[in-house]
Amino acid sequence: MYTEVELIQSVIKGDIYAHRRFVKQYERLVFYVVSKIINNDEDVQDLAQDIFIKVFKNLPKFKAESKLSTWIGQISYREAVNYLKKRKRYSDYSIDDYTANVIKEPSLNPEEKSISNDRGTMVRAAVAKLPERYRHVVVLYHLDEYSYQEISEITEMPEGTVKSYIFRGRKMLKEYLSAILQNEQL
Amino acid sequence: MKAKKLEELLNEQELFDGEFTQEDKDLYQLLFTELSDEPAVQIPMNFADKVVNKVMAKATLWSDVKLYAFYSGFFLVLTTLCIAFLGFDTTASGKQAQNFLSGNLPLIFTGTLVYFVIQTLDRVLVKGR
Repeated sequence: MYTEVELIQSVIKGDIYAHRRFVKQYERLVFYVVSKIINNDEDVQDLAQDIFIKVFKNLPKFKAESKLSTWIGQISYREAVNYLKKRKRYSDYSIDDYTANVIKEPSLNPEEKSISNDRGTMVRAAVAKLPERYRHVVVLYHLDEYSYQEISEITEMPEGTVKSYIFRGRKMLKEYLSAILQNEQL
Repeated sequence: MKAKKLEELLNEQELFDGEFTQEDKDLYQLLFTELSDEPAVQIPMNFADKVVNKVMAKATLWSDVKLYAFYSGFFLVLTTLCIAFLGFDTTASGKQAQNFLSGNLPLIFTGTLVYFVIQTLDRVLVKGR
């Protein structure tokens, strides 16, 4: 069994078993972060592979100033956002646009009506409607892996902004859920 | 989700939102429970092997490139040394050999480069390493 330092050293030395062990240890984290930003499963898998290759390439530069999982999360987040930017699918519209278009909109589309019975699906659909930055920090926080400070390092946003986005994001989600549930009762 | 963690999240959110109504509390409870109860991400069984193969292929390719570059350089240096050595040979056959080699130096250089490219393409496209 490797410790984190031993695992890093073995990977740097080129040990194949250590590479495999490293991927196994962090694949869930990488897939989780990337899949919350990119929706296409095939793209997620390709990007996750590229992220691990980048992680291995940069591992000798890892200074252990942050947790290894934070550093990997940071690389995963950056790569996924860059991927979206390259494909011009990254929208960071304002909270006001969001509230105007989604939360204040009382009517639900047929798809939303059909899924509203399943609470889990309903919450996921609501999360998917959040503006990008809000969605990223909310899902990173509820991964139960990162603190506010670590999310701040990963997303390169000030800690205060991260907290504000998380609270405002959750408030938006609550209002969205409230609108759906009220609509259900009508 | 543990009750203590849920309570912490609710208190934290209440500080931000202001006082909760019972409806707010119920909605946040539903939200936090569902957010922490996300379905597991689907990771292909052979994902780690795919990554390791890709890493090893890259490492092999780079070491091959270095090896071919070394031998190509070595061959060119050897050819240049031959030309220089033949320069000391003042006989007619020595001069002829030197002229032949120096006259065909661009051809020798191109041949070496083509060999290097073919070997690399063979590794990448045919053997898939």
